[in-house]
Amino acid sequence: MTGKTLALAIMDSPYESANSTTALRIIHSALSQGHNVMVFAYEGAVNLTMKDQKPHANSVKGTNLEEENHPLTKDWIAALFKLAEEKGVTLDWVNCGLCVDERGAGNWIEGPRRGAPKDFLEAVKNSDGTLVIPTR
Amino acid sequence: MAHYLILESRDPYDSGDWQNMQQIALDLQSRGNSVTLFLVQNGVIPARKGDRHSGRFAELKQLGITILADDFALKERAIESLAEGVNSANMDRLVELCLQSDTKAMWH
Amino acid sequence: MKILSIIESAYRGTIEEQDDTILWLNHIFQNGGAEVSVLLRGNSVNYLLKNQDASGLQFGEWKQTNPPELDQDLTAMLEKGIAIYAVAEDVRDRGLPQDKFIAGIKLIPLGEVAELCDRFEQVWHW
Repeated sequence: MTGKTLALAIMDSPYESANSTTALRIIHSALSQGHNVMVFAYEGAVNLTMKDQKPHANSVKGTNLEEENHPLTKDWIAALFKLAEEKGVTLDWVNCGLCVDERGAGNWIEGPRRGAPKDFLEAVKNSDGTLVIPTR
Repeated sequence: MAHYLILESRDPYDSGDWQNMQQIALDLQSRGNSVTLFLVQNGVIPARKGDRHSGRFAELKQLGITILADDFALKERAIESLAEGVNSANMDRLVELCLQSDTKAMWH
Repeated sequence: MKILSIIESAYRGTIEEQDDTILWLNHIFQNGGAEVSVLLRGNSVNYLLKNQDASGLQFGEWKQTNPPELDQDLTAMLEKGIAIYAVAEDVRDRGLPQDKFIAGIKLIPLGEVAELCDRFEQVWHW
């Protein structure tokens, strides 16, 4: 365990880009290796942690709700918070407050906090590595 | 000098900027920096052996650039044989590179 | 902390946001104490033109006011001490009339982007 800190800025909404999954895989790997992670969720990425996400069945595949086990990004992220706790490291997930307000996206799972760009700037200053994953 | 980690999520079929970013990577390398091109998502598509653009990676490697490809993205796209110059790597390796003290990571 | 923000994405959500959110974010970073420079490449070089006009949008009876003014946002950033660079080839390829550019920006050839990157602690590509 080296205990470094990675600062990550992400922008994509769930279900619209491969970027979200890649970002969460990076976070998973960093936490698993014993590193702290700060995430600044900007723009559509604030929707990743929405509490009201619900899974669905799939009539094309003929699967019911249970069989389909449809991925919800809020569940993936909740699992990352749990992983951080198990590893004794920090996952600091900041949802951009203005982005939340304009999207009406304030009902989150437990874990994320409301913040602002200055939180990302501060995290970058105190981190060992920074990665910005923009949207297109 | 620094280590530039360029995460390439685009491919030459979708993005006209694919070659421009490689030019920037080469310019960074020629200034004495070390450069890793880490292919992710559809960025791995031209890394399949036989792809029309796959020869580019051998050229880049010859010029001193390290090229890695996300193993999950490769598996996801059934890419089993890699183009010359490209090696498979996992997310742990990507995180190590991100956290290397002299790294500047750029997503494309 | 010296940050080079390379901005390629252009006109993404600018009508809805009334600005470019990445220009806005970098302006905030500068206000927060970072030393930001911006390099426009790809389609974002179009932001340099003074005659952009996104006004007049109307949906039914709703008339949208305060359209984005990206050239003025860049000018405001320049006034805050943010250097604005743009890739000359991207300007040339798109046939942009340089006599209509805002004042104070610096055009650099693509071949000098690497040298620019080397001058900053952080290089972020948006």
